[in-house]
Amino acid sequence: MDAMAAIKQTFFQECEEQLGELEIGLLVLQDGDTDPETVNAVFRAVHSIKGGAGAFNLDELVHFSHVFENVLDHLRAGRLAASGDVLKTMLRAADMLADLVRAARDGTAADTGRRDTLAAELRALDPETAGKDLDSGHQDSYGDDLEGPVFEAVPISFDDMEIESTPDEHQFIIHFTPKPDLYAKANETALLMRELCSLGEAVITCDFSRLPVLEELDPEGSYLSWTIELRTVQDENAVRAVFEFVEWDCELDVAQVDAAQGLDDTALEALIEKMQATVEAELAAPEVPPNDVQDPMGRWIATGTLAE
Amino acid sequence: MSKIVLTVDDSRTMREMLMLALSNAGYCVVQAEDGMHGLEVLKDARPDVIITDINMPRMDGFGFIEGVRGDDLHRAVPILVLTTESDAMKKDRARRAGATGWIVKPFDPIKLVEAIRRVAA
Repeated sequence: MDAMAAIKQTFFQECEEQLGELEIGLLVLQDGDTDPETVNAVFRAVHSIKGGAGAFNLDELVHFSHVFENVLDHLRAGRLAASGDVLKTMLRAADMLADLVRAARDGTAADTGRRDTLAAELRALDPETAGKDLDSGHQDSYGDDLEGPVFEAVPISFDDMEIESTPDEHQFIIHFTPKPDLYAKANETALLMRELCSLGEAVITCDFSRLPVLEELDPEGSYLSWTIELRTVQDENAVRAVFEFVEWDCELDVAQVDAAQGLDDTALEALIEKMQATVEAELAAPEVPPNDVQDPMGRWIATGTLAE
Repeated sequence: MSKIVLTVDDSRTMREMLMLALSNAGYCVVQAEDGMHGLEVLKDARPDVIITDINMPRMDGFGFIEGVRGDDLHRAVPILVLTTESDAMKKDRARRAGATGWIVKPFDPIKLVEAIRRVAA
């Protein structure tokens, strides 16, 4: 048995445990227990089944457990009261979920009519969607997922297609200034630079101008910024993706400057002003022999000159 | 020397899937079943990266991340949360708790390793 098949067996065993926890939790709630941890346990049971089902592409199980999980989320957030009728519906949904698990495990078909009816009843409990017209099909993501997206045939013509043998190269100017929170969350500028370099050719310049004297240095502060000139065949989304974990914890400006997709006049003027300011600052600074700058761990940050 | 990854998830299935993907990529894996267990494991383990689920009993992912960031020995360890694509609020809450980044689930083993390489030297 290969490793994934063994894990799939583990998943179905775990589902049975989760289904047991789900039923017990719902019965306890039905008895009037209002302990938030009971509601959390019920939510986690369905959430875990959904997560594992997604990993194995068990779409029917994912879809139904998603609808069920949504309603349970409202229950644990206090947006839905655990009334008798609500809990009866949930217990029936738990039975349906069990049927779907076993159908997925055994490769058999579940009762789709009962599944759809219960899904509709669950959605009717959802305070965000209850009462809304969901019969229009495309607005109902669960219905769309079951029946598949609607495709319209779009005629295409091969006449004007050009087959490019090499992708176009783009040039970006990136200004990056990390804030202290970036480092507090264990992100590292050196790793971001490494990832940028993996996209193409990069020239990286570090701005030390805000670095204070040692006595005034906050060891948890952030005083450096970087300008990166990047030549790459990747698009701007790929460049920005490098910073997706840190976008809230830095100042970031990504400008594409190649001729094929130039900046508008305002953005170009702003970029030219920035570049002129950088050049003027460098010209005004006294000449100092270049140094390799390393962080406290001895890892390279940049090669540059220290401003006085 | 192989890097050590601590995985924190109450789902046995998810822990096994992470173990398979990470060990195939050459990482050593240490496991915990929930946030409280994760903090216990950290008394002896020195992981290079932590991957944690959010919805867990005893202590959820947010509490665990805050616990790690409050621990001088491990506060600089990168922490990736397992989250679904649509969970923007949970991503934001995890980020505020101190998470370094996230992995979308169900996870692609290649993207899992890419995310780890993005945050760990």
